[in-house]
Amino acid sequence: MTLWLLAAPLAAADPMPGLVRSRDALRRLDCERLSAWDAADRYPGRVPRPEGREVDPDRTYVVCADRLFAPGFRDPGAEAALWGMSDTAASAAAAARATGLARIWHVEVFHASSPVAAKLGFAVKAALVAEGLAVSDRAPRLGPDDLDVLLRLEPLRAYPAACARWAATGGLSGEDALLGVVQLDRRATALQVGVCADGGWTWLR
Amino acid sequence: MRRRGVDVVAVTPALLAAALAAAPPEERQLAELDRVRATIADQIQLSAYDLVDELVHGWTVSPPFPAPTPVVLAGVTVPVGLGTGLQALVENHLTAVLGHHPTTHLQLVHCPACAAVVVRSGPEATVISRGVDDPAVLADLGGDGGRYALFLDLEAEGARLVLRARLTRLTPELPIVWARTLSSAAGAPALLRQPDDLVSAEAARAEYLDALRDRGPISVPARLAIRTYALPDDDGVPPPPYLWLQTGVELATTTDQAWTASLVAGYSFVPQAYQGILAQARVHRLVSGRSRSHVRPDLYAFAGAAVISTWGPATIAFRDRPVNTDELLAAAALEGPRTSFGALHTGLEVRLGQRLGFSAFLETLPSLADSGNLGAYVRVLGVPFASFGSEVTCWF
Repeated sequence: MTLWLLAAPLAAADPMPGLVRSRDALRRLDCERLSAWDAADRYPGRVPRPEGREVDPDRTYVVCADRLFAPGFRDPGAEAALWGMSDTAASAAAAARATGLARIWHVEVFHASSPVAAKLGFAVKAALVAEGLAVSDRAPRLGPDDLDVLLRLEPLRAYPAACARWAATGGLSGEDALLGVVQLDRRATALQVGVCADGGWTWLR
Repeated sequence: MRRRGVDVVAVTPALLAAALAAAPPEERQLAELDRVRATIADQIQLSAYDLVDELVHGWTVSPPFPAPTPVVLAGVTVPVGLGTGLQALVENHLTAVLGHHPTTHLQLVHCPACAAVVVRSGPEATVISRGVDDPAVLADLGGDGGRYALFLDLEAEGARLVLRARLTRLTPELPIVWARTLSSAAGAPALLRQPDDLVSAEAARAEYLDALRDRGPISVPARLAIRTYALPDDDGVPPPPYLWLQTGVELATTTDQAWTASLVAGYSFVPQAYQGILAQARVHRLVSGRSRSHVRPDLYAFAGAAVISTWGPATIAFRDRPVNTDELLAAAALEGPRTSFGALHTGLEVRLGQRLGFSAFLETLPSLADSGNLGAYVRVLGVPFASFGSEVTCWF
């Protein structure tokens, strides 16, 4: 696994495309900027700890590492969703907290890929717990007749209708709220977030 | 090897490659996909273990339960695209680490009904689910209803491997009582903590750095070297082989010991033949990896310069004109001239645990390049390398 450590502003090992490095090689990289302390903690022996010397607050390290899965190994839509999964989960949880609802939160993810949906659901639940919210693993159920009708509706009408049915059938009570993470279009990588509470659906993002 | 009357023949890699080449394209693609999956799983396995170690270490510091509590390992999921092999490895590692650390208060219990698909029919509906998703079924099957379920999920997000874990109480409302997210950056060295005595990540990194630094950046080499000289092409008498005892100081200029520099002094003595002293400086560069290894030999390339001063009856060959036999016999009766010259050398060295090293090098003597008494083992861009040396070094 190739790893470059680039101490800005010194470009000692520049991973940018050039004579000996192609654009494809750059696409396989995932880069992040770290402070000198974080880089020394994460890569001991390769980055010296800034101790015993005057610490330069502007000195940072850009660490580029090969992605664990090369582009093309997994479905591009799934890869896009999984690459930003932590950020997606954190932002969804923050949006849920911002509603101010003191409820028991349930999570449902609607994504074209079932494995990705399961992963996103796990991540969102963990993020909600990290936000200090009460979370339940219970999945509110809908009957087959309800599902038959909802699947025939366009997405923007289906979710509010599902929320109403959950409230009507007792799947969600007045003490519950459901955070929905939705892929409205199979071709889209951005995910929308909505909340179902008291039989009413609200889009948060 | 014979098994059940069927001969099992060892298939060579060449035969296997030929078999794959003859397979349909779809099978070749599937085989290549399996190979890539295995490679990726091998790469992330240690990082996955690291994350599990960090998770369990966190439980030893801050247990999620006040007392030992039965917990069902309800599910371990691995990155999308990988198979059940890595899943089994992570499960086994988690089980082993938890078994060695009862202070986590997590007692893994076996619950076949939890992972099984169960069907529960009632007046309202027929529900098909896993047992862990329907605690009412577990209660009907005789469970005590007070258990907890542990879920683990590993996923690759770009260059990071992320572990998520949650504990769910197996009651009808399935409340999540604990959850945590840990991530590991690709390229960061695995901490390789002992599973039966976990330490914190900071302590593990400190141990790793101590192992890297070992005895510190400065070491003292003690070296036995021999230099031989190539036979001349024309008439002339080559110098005899020189046996050198050398010692000095070597400095590792980087923490990972990828670059080192040494300064040594040497002495050579053969009775009634020659004596010699030398001063030598070298720079070594690690070529077998990015940092010194603790588990395999390291290969260094080096280049250096030496100043050699020698005297004695056998040193007459170190001059810029050929020596004939008469002159050699006449010199044997005398002390012999004192000759000093410079030399440049380059070579390779294999080091074992930075304690024992074996090296070989080629040396050129610029001031004696036109000497009729020295040949050349090899010429590079017209530069004759007249001397070949080998060494054994111990570091203290």
